[in-house]
Amino acid sequence: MAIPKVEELRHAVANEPNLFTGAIPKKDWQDSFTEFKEGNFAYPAKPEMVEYHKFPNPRIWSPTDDDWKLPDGWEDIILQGLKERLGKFRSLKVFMDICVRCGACADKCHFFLGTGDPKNMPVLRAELLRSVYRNEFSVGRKILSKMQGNRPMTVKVLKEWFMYAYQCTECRRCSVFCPYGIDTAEVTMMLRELLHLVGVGINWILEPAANSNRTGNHMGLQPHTFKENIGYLVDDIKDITGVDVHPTFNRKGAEILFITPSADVFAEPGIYTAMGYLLLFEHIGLDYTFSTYASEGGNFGLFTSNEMMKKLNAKMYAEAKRLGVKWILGGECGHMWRVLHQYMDTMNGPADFLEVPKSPITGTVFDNAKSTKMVHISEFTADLIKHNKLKLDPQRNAHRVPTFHDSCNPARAMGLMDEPRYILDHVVPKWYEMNENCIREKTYCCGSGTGLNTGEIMELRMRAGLPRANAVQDVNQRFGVNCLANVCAIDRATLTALMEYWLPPTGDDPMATTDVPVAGISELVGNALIMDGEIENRDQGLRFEELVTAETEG
Amino acid sequence: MRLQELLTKKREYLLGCWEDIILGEYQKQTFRIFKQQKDQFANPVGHKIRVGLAELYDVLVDESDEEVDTPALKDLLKVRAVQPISASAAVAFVFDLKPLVEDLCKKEGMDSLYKEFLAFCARVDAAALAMFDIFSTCRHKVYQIRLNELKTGRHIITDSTKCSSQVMREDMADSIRNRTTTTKPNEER
Repeated sequence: MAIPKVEELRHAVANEPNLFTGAIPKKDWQDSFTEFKEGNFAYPAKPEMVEYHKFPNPRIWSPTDDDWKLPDGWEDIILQGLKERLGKFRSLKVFMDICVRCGACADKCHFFLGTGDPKNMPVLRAELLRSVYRNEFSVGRKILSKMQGNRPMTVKVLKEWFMYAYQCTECRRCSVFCPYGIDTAEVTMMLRELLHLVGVGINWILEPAANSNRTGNHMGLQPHTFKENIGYLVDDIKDITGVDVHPTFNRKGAEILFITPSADVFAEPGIYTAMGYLLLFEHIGLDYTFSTYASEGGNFGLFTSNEMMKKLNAKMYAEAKRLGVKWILGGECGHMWRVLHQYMDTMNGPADFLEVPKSPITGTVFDNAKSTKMVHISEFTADLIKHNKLKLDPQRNAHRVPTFHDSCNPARAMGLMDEPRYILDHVVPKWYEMNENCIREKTYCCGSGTGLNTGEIMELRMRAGLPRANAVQDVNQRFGVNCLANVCAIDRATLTALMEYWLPPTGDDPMATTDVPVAGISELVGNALIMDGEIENRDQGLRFEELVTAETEG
Repeated sequence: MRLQELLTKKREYLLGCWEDIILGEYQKQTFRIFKQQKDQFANPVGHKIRVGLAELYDVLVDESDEEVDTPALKDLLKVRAVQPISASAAVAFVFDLKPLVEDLCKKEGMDSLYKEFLAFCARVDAAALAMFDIFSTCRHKVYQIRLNELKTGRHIITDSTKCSSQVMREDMADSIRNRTTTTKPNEER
């Protein structure tokens, strides 16, 4: 084979189909084709998963196949599905009609910024659906149809939907900048729902959703395993602090039901966050219980369909009712809180059988959770600190210089921005903010949310996470930041990979995988707590790391 | 004027042209945003390309500087290493500088610097090899990260998997199946 000339190579890069989008087309977006190749798509759902959910058209298929084995009359199924949803969701109708293509959202999406693919501009991603909507449903659709960019529903369009509906993490950063407040995440949600109608979905969403449905958590873990794993954390806490903590499970009559993402119970670095919860609850003598049935805060239904989301959300409330608790305390999760704050009340609320949450320690009534009856652990902890109910030694976190990553859903979907910062102020000696365009409501996504946190698209995750990683690099270089604090389980898993790539270890520690490890806020709280009966001169952190004492520092 | 002086004087001009070539790989809508937006937090890819090229340029122009593996160039190659392009295409942009410099020499009527130009080209070639090494390290890193996810259990969250009890059940089913298949010949005998 002849060695290609540089110019030929460059031409190939610019004009020929590439791994990611299938092409970097120079043509009009409507004329370009989407090409699927290994590495640019998440694996499709296994037939048994599709069957489990009683979704249509279970089969073995691959996006790389020409024939996706769609059911007969699939075009009508999609259009009928769209019609139904336009009737059911007023918001969808509004979002389809009011966009004026001002372009304010165009350069706000981390997928666009990381990939440079114009179809990842939120306006254009939504246009993939709008073009079909206009063609079929808008008034005066026959007039100037082509000029308006209207398109019939074809296989080409369907493949495009699959590609780009799964290159959106529904983080809603674009919505912050939209002058009309169009929620592009809801457009993505509708695209995914419509695709499921013809059996087009990805496994890493449907399988955890099936597991959650069956055993109560994404991993499909059964009650004894869930309990056993928390038992290991209890043992570790004993080794590190000398303190016995006493979690209970499925205990009827407990005051509070505590629900957190199951990732906190099973995987690094989430387990350290869970150790933080356990220490905190022991510290204040909270009357709480875990449930091995509602053993998952995450709700992959949000990434599937509104019906699935409702179903998975309902189990938390069913369990609260069964156990007879007064209210629910929620752990550090991302999308659980979006479902809670934006959809729960309409779907399953109001939770009248529960009481308005009231902190048994401070007496604070959480009026903001009057309807959902569920309080975020950071709200709860910040309130404890505010009332001086915690004995804290921030020096125990002196080896850490954190920055805070606002997780998309708690920040943008529930407005939880100040509480984690208030906690940080009290549990670490110092911490630094990232650039103002990358935090609070303008925070950048980890790049792997909404079920895109799967290994087969690792490069895509690294691209999409670049805007976030870039801001962390900045504070790492300027202030020596060496810890990325956050309040989301998916963040804890995926930001770790992101940091390993963009901020590899530069020190001497052979075990370090990055210069900026990721930690939940509650881990930092747990590490700083001075527990009654703890061992004297505690010298280990929750990760068994050596603590920086005054002597070692000196 | 020697070539080095010319390249120092025309630094901004050449960097601009070079940046246009690499950004030209993107579609025109993207090109516009990546080129114009100078805030690194609003345009990390454009920023990393810009500073990465500048750092590489300075190394190539400064004959006393041998260190190609600089932080900003490394970041630029990290961006390239997770893009859907071939390994050769990922580093080929360094060669784009040669014709740019050649054209500049012609334009400035400095064809006589041919020998210096050849020496400059040799530096570009050497840099390309070093850059390929950096690129390979980045790719290696991606695979390492996938392994790390497995080792820490994060793959349970990031990759669909089964719970241990199910794995045990399947193992048991397998061993029963194996036992059945291995006993069959005996039965026949």
